[in-house]
Amino acid sequence: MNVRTRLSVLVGAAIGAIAIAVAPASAHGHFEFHRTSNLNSSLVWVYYPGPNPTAQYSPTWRAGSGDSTNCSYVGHGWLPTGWYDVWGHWDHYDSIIKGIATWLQNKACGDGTLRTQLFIHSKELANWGNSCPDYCFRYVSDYYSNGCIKLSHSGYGFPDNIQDAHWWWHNRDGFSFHGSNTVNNALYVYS
Amino acid sequence: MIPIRRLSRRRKTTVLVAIMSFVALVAVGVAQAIGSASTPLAVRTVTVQRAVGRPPGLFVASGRVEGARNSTLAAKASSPLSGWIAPVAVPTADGGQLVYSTWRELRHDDPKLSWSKQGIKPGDALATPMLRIHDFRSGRDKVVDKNSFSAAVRSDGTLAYVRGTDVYRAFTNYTGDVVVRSSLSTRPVVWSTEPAEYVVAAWAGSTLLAYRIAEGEKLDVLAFDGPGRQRLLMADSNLVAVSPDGTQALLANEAGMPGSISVVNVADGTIAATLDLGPLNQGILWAAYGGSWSDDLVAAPTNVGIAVFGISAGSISLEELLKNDPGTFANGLIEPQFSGDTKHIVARGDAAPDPNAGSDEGSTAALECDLTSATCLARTTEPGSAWLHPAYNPSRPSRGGSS
Repeated sequence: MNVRTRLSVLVGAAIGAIAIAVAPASAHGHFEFHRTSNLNSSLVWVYYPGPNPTAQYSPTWRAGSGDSTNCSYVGHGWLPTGWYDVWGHWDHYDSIIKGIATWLQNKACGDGTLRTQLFIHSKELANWGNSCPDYCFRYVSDYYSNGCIKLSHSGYGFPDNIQDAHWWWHNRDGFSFHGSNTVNNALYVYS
Repeated sequence: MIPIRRLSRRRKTTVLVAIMSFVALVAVGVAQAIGSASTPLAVRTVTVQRAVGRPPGLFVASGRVEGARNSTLAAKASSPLSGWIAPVAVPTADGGQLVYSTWRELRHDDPKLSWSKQGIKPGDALATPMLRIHDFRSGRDKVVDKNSFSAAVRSDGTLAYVRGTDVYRAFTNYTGDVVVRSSLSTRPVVWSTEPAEYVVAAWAGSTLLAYRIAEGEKLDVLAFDGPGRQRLLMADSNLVAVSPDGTQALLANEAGMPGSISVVNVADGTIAATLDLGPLNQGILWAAYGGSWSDDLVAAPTNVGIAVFGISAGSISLEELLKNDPGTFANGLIEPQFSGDTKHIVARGDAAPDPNAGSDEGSTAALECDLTSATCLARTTEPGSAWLHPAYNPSRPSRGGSS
């Protein structure tokens, strides 16, 4: 190997090391939510396959959050910015929230108001069926939430984006578990 | 009269435009008259002017009381667990004391970072709330109860609040009991049937109204008639205000969007009247907590501004709509409280955060609004972290004034 080649290898290795340092240390993917409006924000799955330090992206899904852009409006405002851990992930959650559900950590807004009990979810039954009006996705207004990230569900003309996001979560450097489990840095919310 | 078919194309267009204009005017007239049969609905966009001097009413910010009284508190009034679901500071009926929520961090939690990035583990203690009472005459300021927040103060001095079962911990829901004390010298009596995420809101006569926060930040309004006597008043709803005599509550239902508002008889939960917000055609999707009821009018915060609803036997009507100017307070006109009469209110105006600041912290202004002229005077502006809020007592019946 001549000097020039050795130098190229060294520079390449250095660039690679820097890029790996920028990528999340967990090597797992994460969701990114970009707050644009309550009805029309976006969610995307970001991951780093194998040793490749370059971020790969899923399709971007339309997503809603809140019915006000005032983060501190408990029960109305969209969710706060920043990194989130996750408390758990379920395929068939069956409580007030139903179906595919990912529970987010509590987080404070800019004035310190805490937003709690927020999920990534849709309006569907625990078995992924529909029961209108509470558990079906029929209208654009179904993207509104009390603060949760809402994705669409199929059955009434909307794509099954909750199922799509769920697939990427499990199959592209995501997580295989179901149930209560803490996952570090599983979501980043941009302003 | 000349038949339309014999008119020129230009004249036909003119006639068509005239007909369409007439239809549009009739439609607007119908929409404007939805308010009530007798009074036209007044819809205006608020004009905000900067002003100096003390605001009317009572405000708290950064550990101070301003407005009708000036005082320094022992701690900053703030209530991160409830925001302004319930007032952060509540004056007693005689106005001589102020019960307020405070918050003490046990470990700093940077909202930009996840808990794991800060080394915070499940179960780690993060903070604790604490209720305090401030006496305006003596300046004395003492603790009501540890690990407690969200007070409702009845006209006879009976105090209700939430007492936590534990401090606020990471990856743990903060639950507590609803407790009631006839005075500060008596022991708290638990009224709730089991610990939950409660927020005490207001007394309606001898019935206590409180929230239970459920999954997805769903708010249920509960009524407590005594120890262990707990009932659901309305699921998925906000308490806008309690009627002056304490027998009814205006609740905003959020199960659908647009939602509705209902006058509910507190004693038995029956609904006296309901108004669907969508057919008003004013863009109102929801009404929220933090409103005010005086005589037969309710000032309610909504997604478009402050709505004034008329309440009469068996019906609710939209009387006035003071629309928010997104250029000034993009994040809403909040906590509108009638001040002195039903033509003036004090409120809060929330400006949006700087999009380049990378933070959710906007600024808040104390507002004094004249509903007749649709003008608000902004006297004080503080960053969100100062917790600038009106201090008001939503419990009814009250003794002497609504704020």
